[in-house]
Amino acid sequence: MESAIYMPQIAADQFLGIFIVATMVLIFGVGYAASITLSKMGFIAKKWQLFGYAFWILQVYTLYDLGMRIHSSPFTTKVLAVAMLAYLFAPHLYFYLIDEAEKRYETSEDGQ
Amino acid sequence: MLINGELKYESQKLGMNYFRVALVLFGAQLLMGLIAAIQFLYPGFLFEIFDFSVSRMVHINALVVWMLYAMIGSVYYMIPDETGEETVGIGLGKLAFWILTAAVAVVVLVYIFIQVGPGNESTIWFINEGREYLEAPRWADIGIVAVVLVFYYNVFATYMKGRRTGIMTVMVANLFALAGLYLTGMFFTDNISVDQYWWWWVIHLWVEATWEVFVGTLAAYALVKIIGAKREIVEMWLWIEVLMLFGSGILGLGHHYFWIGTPEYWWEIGALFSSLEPVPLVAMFVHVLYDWGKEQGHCESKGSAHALNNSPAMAWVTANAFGNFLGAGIWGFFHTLPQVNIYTHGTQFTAAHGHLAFFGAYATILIAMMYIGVQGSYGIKKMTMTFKTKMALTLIIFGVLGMGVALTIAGYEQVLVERADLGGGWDAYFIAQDLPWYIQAQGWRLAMGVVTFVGFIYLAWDLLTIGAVESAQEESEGAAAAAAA
Repeated sequence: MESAIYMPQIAADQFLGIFIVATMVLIFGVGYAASITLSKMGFIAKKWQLFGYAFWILQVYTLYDLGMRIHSSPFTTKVLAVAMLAYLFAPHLYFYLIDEAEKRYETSEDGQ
Repeated sequence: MLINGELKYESQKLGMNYFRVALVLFGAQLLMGLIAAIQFLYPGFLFEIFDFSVSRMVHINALVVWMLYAMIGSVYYMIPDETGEETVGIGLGKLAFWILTAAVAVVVLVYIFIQVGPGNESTIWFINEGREYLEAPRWADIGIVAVVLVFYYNVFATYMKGRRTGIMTVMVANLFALAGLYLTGMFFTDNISVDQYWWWWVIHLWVEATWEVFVGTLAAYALVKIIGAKREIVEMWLWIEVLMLFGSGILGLGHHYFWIGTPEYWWEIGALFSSLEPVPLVAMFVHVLYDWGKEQGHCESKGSAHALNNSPAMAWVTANAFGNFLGAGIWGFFHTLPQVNIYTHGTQFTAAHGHLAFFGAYATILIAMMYIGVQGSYGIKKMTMTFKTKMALTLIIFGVLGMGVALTIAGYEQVLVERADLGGGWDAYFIAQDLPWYIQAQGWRLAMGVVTFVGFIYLAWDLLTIGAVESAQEESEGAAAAAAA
């Protein structure tokens, strides 16, 4: 009888690596967003944004690694790669919108 | 939290009533959780008196209901501030509050004392609907719909009458979806896959879409209220968060469809959109810290030290920013992809994610709203943290994190032994539960549950007393300043 559920064969000793890599994907993602944010807020110099991009590269790598470890399908791998490209632009889009909003409402007295 | 003396609006007084009941139910939830945790270690504890199935059910239902109470309370509290109007139909709102509270009391008493009924329609109507997380019997289901209709009418009519801020616009639209989704869990189908398909609409589209948007709305209101953040900027963030939360959360629903007999295309859809779900949580996290840092900078440039007028509430809002990302984001992401989920589904991993996410994403912001309510009730201009606030914050966060880690270890052992090694069968389930790692992890979970409960006692004590303490202090400082002048 054909199996009803496709269960990818993951060896027991692979799980810890999978959970750690999955966590690192998000940690590096926050590192990237945090570097850009702290630089925009003036807490760190603009040149440190480069570290943010290093975080983003590490995030892309860990996500790729995760995809390999869990035997992700080629379609999902491609879609995740596109999502990572979108994530590269997301903080810049945020702060562009914030700058524009601040310019627009700079003179508004009705802040509250 | 005991008085409403300084509140001008009846709507805010009603909001405080909702907060009071929410606090009681929060305590009940934790007590039931402790009983269930003991039963994991000693299955004979209260056997055939108060079985695990009952303690777990009341634990989860009390969680859902206290959060809904606190959410309704938050809305009634913020409406006058946002719209500049007293809530339309406030008398009806008060009546609905008492009816709902009486109904909840009856349902809880039935859960505790009657527990189970015969296998026919009468049980579904009067004892328990048997639908996990939403066990309320059908009469109560219908009653909840009636009460929520009253609530929604009040909110919508007030919104139409008063000032239509961006925060209230999102709130009104989101509440419509939140309330409407409850209906999808109110009917049964003969096919269990189809049944589960609709039932997940309530659970998922609440906690990963409409409740998250609700949290974004409360965070926006809290930032305006506590640190004086500029409304236009906060509202712009809110719209972006709404876009991202619904954009990822709605189709992220797919991760519940992996193993219930739905077509396989849900694997790809669920994997992709679930992976995107942490992105708005990062945005919410950045949003809170960015606004706080910016307003603090403005204050310092003007020579004033502190931007906050309510430190306890801001501490809980910050806990929300971290907790939402950690509990819902990280703990959700690392078991959401189908290839991993088939091994983790239904293990203690799910419980670890549930504990961290419900606490991090929802409990924290609702507690912050309670502190905002206390500040308003006593007319305190600047509320600071007391020893009890700090103890509550520390013990609850430490306790819940500890429970999350302990449950993750138990789940990890289940993944390795029960699923990967033994293939996930009936015997494997029991073998995995008898191994030392699992039992020790459950022991630590119980210990951390006790820590959380002690933290809750501090929290309740603080909420009941901080208003009187802080207002007396403010008065004495005012008198001293006047005497010095």
